[in-house]
Amino acid sequence: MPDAVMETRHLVKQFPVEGSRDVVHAVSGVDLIVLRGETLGLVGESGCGKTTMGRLVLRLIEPTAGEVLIEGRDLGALSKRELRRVRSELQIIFQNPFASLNPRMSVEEILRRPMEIHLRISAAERSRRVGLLLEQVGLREEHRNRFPHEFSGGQRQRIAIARALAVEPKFLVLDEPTSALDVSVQAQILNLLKRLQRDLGLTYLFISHDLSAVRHMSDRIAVMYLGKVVETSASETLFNDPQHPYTKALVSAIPVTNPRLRRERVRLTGDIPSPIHLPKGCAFHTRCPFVMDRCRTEGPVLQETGGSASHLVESHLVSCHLVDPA
Amino acid sequence: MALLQVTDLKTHFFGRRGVTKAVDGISFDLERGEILGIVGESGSGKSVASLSIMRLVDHPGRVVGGSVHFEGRDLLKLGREEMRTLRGRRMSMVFQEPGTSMNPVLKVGFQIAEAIRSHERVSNQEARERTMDLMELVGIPDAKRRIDQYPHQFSGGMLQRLMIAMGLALSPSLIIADEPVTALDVTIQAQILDLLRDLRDTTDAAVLLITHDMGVVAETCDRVIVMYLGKIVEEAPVAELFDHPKHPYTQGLLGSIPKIDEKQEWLAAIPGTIPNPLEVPTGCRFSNRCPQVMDVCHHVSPELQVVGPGHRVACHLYGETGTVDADA
Repeated sequence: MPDAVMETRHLVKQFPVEGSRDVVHAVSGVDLIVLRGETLGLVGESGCGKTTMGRLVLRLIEPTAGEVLIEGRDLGALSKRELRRVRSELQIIFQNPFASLNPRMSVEEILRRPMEIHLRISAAERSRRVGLLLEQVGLREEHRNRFPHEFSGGQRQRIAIARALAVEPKFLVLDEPTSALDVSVQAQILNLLKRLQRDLGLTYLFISHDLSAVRHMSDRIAVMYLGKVVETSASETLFNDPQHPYTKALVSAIPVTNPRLRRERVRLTGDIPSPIHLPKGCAFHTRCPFVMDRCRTEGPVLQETGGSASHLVESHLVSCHLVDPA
Repeated sequence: MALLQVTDLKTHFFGRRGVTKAVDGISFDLERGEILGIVGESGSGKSVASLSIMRLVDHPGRVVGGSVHFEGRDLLKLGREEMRTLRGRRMSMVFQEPGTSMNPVLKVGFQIAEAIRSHERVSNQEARERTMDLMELVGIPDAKRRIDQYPHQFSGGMLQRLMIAMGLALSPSLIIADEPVTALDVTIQAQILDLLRDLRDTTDAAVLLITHDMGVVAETCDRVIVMYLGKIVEEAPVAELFDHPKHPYTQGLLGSIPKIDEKQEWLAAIPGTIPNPLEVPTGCRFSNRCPQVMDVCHHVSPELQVVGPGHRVACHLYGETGTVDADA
C-alpha cells in the first residue's frame, strides 16, 4: 500500500447553471493520489477543473459524487468536529495575496488567529511561534506589527504561507501561488516553498497553468482537460515522453527561453469546448490532430502504458485510444 | 532610416506624493518588418513607453522630454487631429484584455468595418468584404457566419484574433502589442504568437511587443530591450541576449525562470523586491538588489555602452561611464 496523504476516488463536481436544467461539468470522475512528502503537480488550462479540484480536496465545496480521503479517512463521513480537526492538517495558498489577507489585521494577528482556533497553546507560546514563522518564510521580527498594505506582493505571499504553516499542517494545496507575482519574485517564492517542504516534510498539491513552474516543483504530474485527468506520470517522463496528444500540445506550446529552440509545435486548432455541453466520446476529440472515428463515440479510460509499474511513482497512465492496445 | 526612432523619451507622473519617472530617458530604433520586444517587470515603464509613443498617456502622466520620430515625423509635435489620423491608419495597438476593448452590444464585423470606414471612403459592402478577408487572415474559422456575431460569442483567443484583425484593418506599418497573450491559455498563446510572426512575414509591418515573459520574447522577437525602473538596462539581438546576458538584472531574470529542458534544484532568484517608484535608489537603480554591486554603483548612474554587435548594456561592470547622481 502506498503511503497516501490524500486520495480522491472518482470525484465528481457539477455546478448548476442558473435558469436552466444544464450543469457545468467541472470535475468528472477524478482519481488522484498524493504520496507523503511529494509534490503532485496538477496542470491544465482555464476551465479544466484544476481549481475546483483544490477546493474539493479541502472540502471547501461539497462533491457531487465520489470521495476524498485524507490519510485514509473519508472527509465526507466525518462529523463537523472531526472535520474541523482534520482541517488544521490541510491548508491552502491562494493565487492573489492581495485578496487573501484581511487588511484590518496586523501580521501578528493574521498568524495568531489560526493558532487560537486550532492549537491548544498559551498566548506566550503563540507569540513565540509568530516570531518563528516570520523567520521561516524570510520575514523579519519588525514586520510583526505591520499591516498587509505595507508589503509587496511577494512579501504578502510569504505572510500567506506563514499563516498556512501556523497550524502545523501536513498537506498544502498551492493554487497558482506565484501567478500574480513578478518573475524575479516568483523564483523566491518557489525556492521558499521547496525549502519548507524539505525542512518540514510537507506534502503539496501544486495547481498551476504554468508548466515550467510545475515541472520545477513536482515529483509527479497529472494533466487535466475538461474535468478529467488525461495523463499522469513522473515529472521527467511527462516532459520527455508525453503520450496524450493534449499533453504533447501543452508541452510544445511552452515558450522556451532559448531562441535557438524555436520548434515546430503540435498545433491545436479551435478552442476548449463548453463544460456544459461536453463532446461525446473523448472530450478532446474536437481539437485532437490524431482523431479517429472511435474517439467520437467511445470515451477512453485512464490506463497504464508500456507494461505494469510495480510502484505508483513509476506509473504512467494515459487516457487515449492511440495508446490503447484494444 | 528607421521606421521608429525614439530619442531620450521621458514620461513622468505627477502625483500628490511626488514625481514618478516612469520612463526616464530611453532611446531605441525599430526597423521595418522587425519584431522588437520590450521586457520588464511591474514598474519598469514598458507599458508607459508604448502609450507615450501612441500619445495615449493620461493625466497625471505627461511626456516631458525627448522625441518620437515615426515615418519621418516627430509624433510629439503633431496636433491631436493629425495624431488621430495616424493612429489606426499607420500605427495600431493590441491590448492585453481583448474582451474589454470591444463594444459588447455591437456585432464584431460592424466594429471592424467601422474602423475601416472612419479612416477611408469606402462603401458598406466593400468594408464588409475587407472585414471578412481580415477575419480569415487572422485565422477565424467560418468568418462568413461569425462576422454577424457579438463579442461574447467569441473565446478569449478568438477575441484577440479579432483585435489583431482590427489593428491590421488599414495596413499599418507599426503594431504595438502590449502583453497580447498574457490573458490567454498556453496553447492559445502559441497560436497568437505564431500569428503575429506570420503577419510580420506577409505584411512587413514592424511589431513592438511589450511583455513580462522571457519565453514569449525568445519565441517571437528579433531584438530585445530590457527595462528596469524606467531605464533601458540592456539591448541585444534575441539570441545574443539569451546566450550572453551582460546586465546582472537580465542574468537574474533569466535565472529566475524554471528551465524546461533541464532539472535544477534551486532557482537563481533576484534578492529583494522592486522598489517603490517614489524611492528609486540613487546611482544605478538596480544597485540595492544587485549581487555584484560596487561602490560606484551607489552614486553614478551607468549609461548604455556598446559591448558587441547591436549589444548595449548600462552597467559599471563593463567600464565606468555615466553621470554622478545629483541626489547622491
